[in-house]
Amino acid sequence: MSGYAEAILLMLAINVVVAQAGYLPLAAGQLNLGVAGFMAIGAYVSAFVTNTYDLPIVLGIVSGAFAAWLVAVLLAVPLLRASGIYLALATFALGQVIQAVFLNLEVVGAAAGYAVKKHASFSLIMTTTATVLALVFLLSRTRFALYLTAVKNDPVVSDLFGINVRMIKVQAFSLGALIAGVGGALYAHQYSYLEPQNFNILLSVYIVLYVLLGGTQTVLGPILGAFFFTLLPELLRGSEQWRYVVFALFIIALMALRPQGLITTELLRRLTLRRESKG
Amino acid sequence: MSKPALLEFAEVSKLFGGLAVITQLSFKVDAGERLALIGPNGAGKSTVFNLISGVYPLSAGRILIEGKDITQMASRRRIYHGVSRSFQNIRLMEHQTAIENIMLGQHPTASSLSDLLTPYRLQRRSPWVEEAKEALARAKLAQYAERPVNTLPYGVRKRIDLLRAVMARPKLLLLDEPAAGLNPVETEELHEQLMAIHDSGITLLVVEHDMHFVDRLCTRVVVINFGEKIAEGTMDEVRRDAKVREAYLGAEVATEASDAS
Repeated sequence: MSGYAEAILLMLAINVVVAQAGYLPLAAGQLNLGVAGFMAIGAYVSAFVTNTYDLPIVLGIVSGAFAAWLVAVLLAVPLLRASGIYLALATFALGQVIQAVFLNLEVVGAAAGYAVKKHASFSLIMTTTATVLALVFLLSRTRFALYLTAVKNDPVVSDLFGINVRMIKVQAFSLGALIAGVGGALYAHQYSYLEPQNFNILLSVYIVLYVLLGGTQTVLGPILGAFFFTLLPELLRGSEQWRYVVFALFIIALMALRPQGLITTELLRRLTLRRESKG
Repeated sequence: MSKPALLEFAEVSKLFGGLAVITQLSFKVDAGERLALIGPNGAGKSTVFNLISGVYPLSAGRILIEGKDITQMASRRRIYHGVSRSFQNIRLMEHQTAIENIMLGQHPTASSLSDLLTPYRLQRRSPWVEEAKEALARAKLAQYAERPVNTLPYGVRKRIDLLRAVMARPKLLLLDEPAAGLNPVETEELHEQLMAIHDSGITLLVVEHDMHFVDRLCTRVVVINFGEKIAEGTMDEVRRDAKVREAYLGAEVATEASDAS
């Protein structure tokens, strides 16, 4: 495999992971614009513990994911008192605060950036990506996933059927942060150098776009969204000046023509039905 | 000592701001009854349901289930004490299938952590899916099982909303205008379905405008107007009640009607 293809595949793997980080909260109706902040926590914590304590990368990823999850759980109760556009604004602010913290944290280089000593192998990143996707897929086959939809759809009815709405909301938010932490740690050990600016609002917006354009109803949607967003700019490289214009037009066209996202449960149902009727 | 009523509404009042919607309302529902709560538009019937299920807190009074005071109980806990309800303006998950919607009603009987995290959709025969399918089949709705509910006719969706409430195996089922918007055939099917639900040991409390439907289904009627109880008894008894006539027809017409009879 060429170095270019490998680099694209690794970028794709990390984007697919963080797309799931945006998907879980959105499945429960939460627009999280602070995903990049949780990625930063995962990246810096994993980089710090592997640099300082010489831990293996796998333990670094676990520590980074745990740290992002812990911050999310602690902040979820006050944050999730808001909903809709106010929750989006609150998570946006949270992402900015996390970025600002790392910008001032001398122990990880502050604004000068932080070198990551341990470099993850291609196979480690692919294995981690596959593990995350397998776990999210398993989770999507459970009652938990059904309740995410129920809570997004009608919290009052969910509550009257005995579902702990707040618990489901907190879990959706913090599991999303956990996955963002994994994605951030992968990023750290792939690119070997961290700067707070890497985890800015634009990254959070992109992650949300993966999910919205891919579709919020299935696990497959965000994966496809991440593929689309990672590969399309590369495919358009032929015309360097115009590629971002074409790319933006693509996004607008997709939103206008298919606002529910590329993949919907209805689409998957039709595809499986056709396969069954053929067989 | 006699057994306490299944549901007791004890001098309940509810104010929204300064506006009294329910005033000193008391009534009881005994186990095994089919009781209707009727009254003109705006009488406070839906508010009564929202007070029982805990959507709104009371301003005064108490609500008891089998003698246990649930006035302060969180709305989420009440279904575990046997209170389940359907909704007047069908509140289903529109993009999910009939089965998935009905599965929401199974939550009170499947609420452990392992229930929450079992990947049931990978099982060949999930007991939950089977139970939901059986419930749909009993209601003669089997052909809609796998369809997203937003593609189904109004009457079918209405009955899926009802099945979901029954799935929680309540002692008391609150039905908010179950016959509204149904055609005569669907209304007849609903009547049979509700009688079958009642035969399985579930007590019914019904808010309904279709008096013919109420007359056939219910054994007893409580009439409220402006949040106060104005009559109680069998359908025939309340029909002869002057206050009820006045509430429904207006004072003058009621007098003329009773003069004529």
